[in-house]
Amino acid sequence: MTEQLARVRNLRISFGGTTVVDGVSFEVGAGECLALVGESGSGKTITSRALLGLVPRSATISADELSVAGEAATEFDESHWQGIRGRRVGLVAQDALVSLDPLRTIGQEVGEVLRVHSRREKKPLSRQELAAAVQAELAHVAIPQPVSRARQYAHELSGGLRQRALIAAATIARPRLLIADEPTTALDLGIQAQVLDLLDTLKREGTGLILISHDLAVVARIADRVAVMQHGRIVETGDAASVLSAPKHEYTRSLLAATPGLHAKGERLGTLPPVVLAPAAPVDRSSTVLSVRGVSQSFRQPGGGRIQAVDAVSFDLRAGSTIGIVGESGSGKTTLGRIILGLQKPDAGEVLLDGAAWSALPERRRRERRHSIQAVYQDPLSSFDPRLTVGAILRESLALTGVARADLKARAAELASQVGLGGELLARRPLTLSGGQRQRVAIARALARNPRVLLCDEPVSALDVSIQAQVLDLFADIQAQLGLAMVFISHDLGVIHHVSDEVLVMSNGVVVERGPSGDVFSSPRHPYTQALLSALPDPLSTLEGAPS
Amino acid sequence: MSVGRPDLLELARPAAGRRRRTVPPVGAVAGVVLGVLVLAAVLPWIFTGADPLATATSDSQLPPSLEHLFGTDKLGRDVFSRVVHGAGLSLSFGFTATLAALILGILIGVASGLAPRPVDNVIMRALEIALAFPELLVALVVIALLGPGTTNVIVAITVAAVPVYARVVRITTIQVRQSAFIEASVALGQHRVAIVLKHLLPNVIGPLLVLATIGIGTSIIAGSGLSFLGLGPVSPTPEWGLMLSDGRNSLGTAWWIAVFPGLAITVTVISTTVLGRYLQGRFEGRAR
Amino acid sequence: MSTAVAGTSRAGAALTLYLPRLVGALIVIWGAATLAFLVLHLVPGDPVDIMLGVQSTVSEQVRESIRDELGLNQPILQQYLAYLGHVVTLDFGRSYRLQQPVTAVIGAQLLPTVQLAALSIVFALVIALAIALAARTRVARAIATLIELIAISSPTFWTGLLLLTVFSFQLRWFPVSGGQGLPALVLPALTLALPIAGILSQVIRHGLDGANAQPFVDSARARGLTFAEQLGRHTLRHASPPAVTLAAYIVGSLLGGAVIIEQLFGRPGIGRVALDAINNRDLPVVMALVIFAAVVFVVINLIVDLLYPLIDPRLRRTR
Repeated sequence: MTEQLARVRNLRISFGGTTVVDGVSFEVGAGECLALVGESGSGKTITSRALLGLVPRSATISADELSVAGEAATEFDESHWQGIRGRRVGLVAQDALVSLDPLRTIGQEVGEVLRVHSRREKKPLSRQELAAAVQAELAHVAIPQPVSRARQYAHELSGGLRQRALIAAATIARPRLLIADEPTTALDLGIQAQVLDLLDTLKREGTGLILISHDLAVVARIADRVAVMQHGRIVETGDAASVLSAPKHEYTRSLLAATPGLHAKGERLGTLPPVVLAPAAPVDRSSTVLSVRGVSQSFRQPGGGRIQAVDAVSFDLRAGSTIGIVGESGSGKTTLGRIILGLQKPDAGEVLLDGAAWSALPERRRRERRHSIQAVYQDPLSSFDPRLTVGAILRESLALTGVARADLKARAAELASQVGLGGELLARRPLTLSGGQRQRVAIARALARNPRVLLCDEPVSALDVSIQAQVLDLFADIQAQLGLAMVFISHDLGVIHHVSDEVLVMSNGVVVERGPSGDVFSSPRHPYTQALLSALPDPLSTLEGAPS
Repeated sequence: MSVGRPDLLELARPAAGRRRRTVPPVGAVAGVVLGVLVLAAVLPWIFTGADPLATATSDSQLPPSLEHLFGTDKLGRDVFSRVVHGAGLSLSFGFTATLAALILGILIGVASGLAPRPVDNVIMRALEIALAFPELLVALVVIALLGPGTTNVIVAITVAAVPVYARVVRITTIQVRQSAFIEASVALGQHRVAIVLKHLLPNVIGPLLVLATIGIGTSIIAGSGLSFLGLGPVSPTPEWGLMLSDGRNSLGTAWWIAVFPGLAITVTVISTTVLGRYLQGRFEGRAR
Repeated sequence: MSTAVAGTSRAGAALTLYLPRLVGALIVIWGAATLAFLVLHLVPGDPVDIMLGVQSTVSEQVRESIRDELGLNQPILQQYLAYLGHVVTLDFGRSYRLQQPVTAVIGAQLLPTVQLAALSIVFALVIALAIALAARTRVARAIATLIELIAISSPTFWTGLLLLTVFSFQLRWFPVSGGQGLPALVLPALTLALPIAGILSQVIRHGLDGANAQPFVDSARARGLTFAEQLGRHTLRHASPPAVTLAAYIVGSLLGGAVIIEQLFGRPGIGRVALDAINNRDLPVVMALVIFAAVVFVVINLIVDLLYPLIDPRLRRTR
């Protein structure tokens, strides 16, 4: 029987009258990884903070048992907690760029736990001892050149090294229990895999790990046991393999069903019925609506020199089909999107819309044709004038399309209901809407202009998986019924796999691989694509039994 | 590309809810106080029947009583009446100067923020030079040029305040111009003039009006300060700064002569500041 | 940096980093000087009249010779260039009224104002930090907000009078006016410090709140840091850049405030010089003070620019 590092029985946390954690129980032993899985608002983060005594003061917390490192934590006062934090329980947060103090060196940050705790325990370490410990720990998490890295700042390190340093800062005092809160969410795919491997190593060395994640693929890779949380409750718990392959609870099943990477184009992800749009004129699916011809764009870098953001990219997009552009951050896909939208003039090459000049036109003449190509962005909120209500946003777009003044209100309501927004939302401002609702408003605004091409730049990246599923279904409905052509930009291979007919893989501004979606994903030819796909924490093998 | 920190949002929620409940009454109180002050400025006679200029040597330096709420000054004039009648000048310093500075600031700031780079650079440099001087010094120089007097005090405060507003407007204009929703309007196919009029200007001017509410208080302090220095209206005009200055020589014997006009200034400035912040809170709560 | 300057990268980088700021600073001073010149020549009325006083009965011949002496009969451009030359050599001419070099007039009165400003800054910092750090509970925050509001909204010529009434007239702790040494400096400095402390406290509190909302504070707390350790090791440093940004504004308001404070407390200093000069339309003195203020502003901002990278390593572009 393994040593119990944390045991929670019937934990309840509430703010005022709102219960955010409702009777949660779990335990974690040495060398074991428990994953708390759930969408935002499920209470997983605050549950983990209870093990550190870091629940906000305004919260009411109660538990039949809350023991940390073998002690009953319900009795702890603040100074007792300070002795536990960092020493007995470590925390690895999401994004090292902001979770490490940007004003202090890596060495200072990593050494801080030891420094503070050795002083508290009246055995202060000397400078040399501290520096040696920091270097040893940086080496332990496989950071090369630990001596010089310790002198650098978080912003000077690459994302992967940064996240390793954050882990080192949590593990240097050898806490037996480590809480990793979305430790890979902010990272590019290749680095994700490395960080997960590191956490796996720590687990094998005997650390108990509580992994908090919304991402089932990440969970499948290192968790021994999984607890699925919804609305502050654990709805299903068990060993990882059985929960992920044979989920019993309906919520777990819907989560798995919503994972786009597991479903081919055309399969529904969410549980909502298809929307019904006004049938448009039939579309000739063989005609090319958008042509990108050898487009290049470079930018001046702050330190001098130029960076080639987009390098001789070409493709054709046929009516009614979707081209997926996938790449990691900095691959040039967003710049390409701006060029396609005519918001940025390329250095070389040209974009044709409906076979006629587009990128080469002066803005005055392009404006007349802008209705043909519309966009949906990653952060819809910032793309709305903050003063306007949903209704006003839709009416502006409709008015541009030439809808008569008298009909604007009725048409806006009709448009909203077509994308699944209730009429009562028209009077609200987007700020008060949920992420999924905001994206529906953005989609409705684009559709109001009757476009032939829809460009979507990371439209579902900020959404929870079940909401993401609904929005992806909406895109599918729109394409099926209106015959829109779509350019779909994303870093998420699963999403791209689900939506695309054809895929472009971009790296450093260059298209390194292209082809029909199925071919690229099943038999990638370019080493970069192969590396990307192999880094994908692929749940497919674990999840074969998942219902579709 | 980060997913953000949705789970930490739930940690922050209660604090945000708490703030909203306490603020409105404070804002409302400030609004009412300011309303009363404006009323005193426009119709002083409804608050007091006493003549602010009537001297009575026999009543010299009487302490506050029911008959003379704020006491009397050296010449036996009723301090309460003088404070009420003084509201007109002090508030007009604040409102007139702020309004004038606001209009000029918006014109300069928007022009600079929308102008091509070289023009913007020149205006920005000029603003930087103007901002290098303490506001009071600018006002003093203007008075040195134009000479003392009530109108010149207003001109002086206006001139001193314009660069501050112009800079804020310029920065906001540039921020709004570069914000995603303006680009989204371009992509939507909206006309450039329409974008400026419908989206850019309202988003620049809205927060500025709020800032100007707070600026009224600053201008009132500046105006009464110049009067205090003897550069504004002259005796026996009832004006708060001037009254303070007159009363400071009798501090040891008759503190009320100087204390009440000062209290009036402070209360006025506090209410404009509180109202401004309240509006700011509402505006930001709505916009961001 | 580009490879061409790799050999002297550090010096070269520092130069490219600070040269634009230095040029900008010189432009501000040049602008101030030009403005002063324009004002001197735009002022309605004959400078000689102002110099001699309105009632003067000096003959036209003498006036003409004074004009010659001041170069007022030369073309305006020539006057401007000569004026710039004087400014560079710190020659601001003679005071119309005191018949002394302006530099001497200002120089003689500089020390009392510097003392006043220095003590005010100390007071303001201490008060602001005390308020900001004490405001941790909800009640304490409300009280802090109220204190800040009153401090910012009260004109100095009123708080000064209140302090005088209480501490000089009633309690007799401090001299009423004038006087030498520290006791005479306390009330004026405190008066001048209060509104600045109010603003500074707000900025520091806002900065601390902002820092406390950052994820790295979660990390620090999860390492077992006490509140004092969080402040000392993390958040106070994050709260300081906005406060440093205020430095130029603060020094400016000290200079402006000195005019009122010195008048109110009957102290000597350049504020007093400024007010006398304005009352007597002693324009060379006024203009020298304008340039002086611009120089102070520019110097403070250069120091601030040098401070930022020390506080925030992300601003150190050179590596």
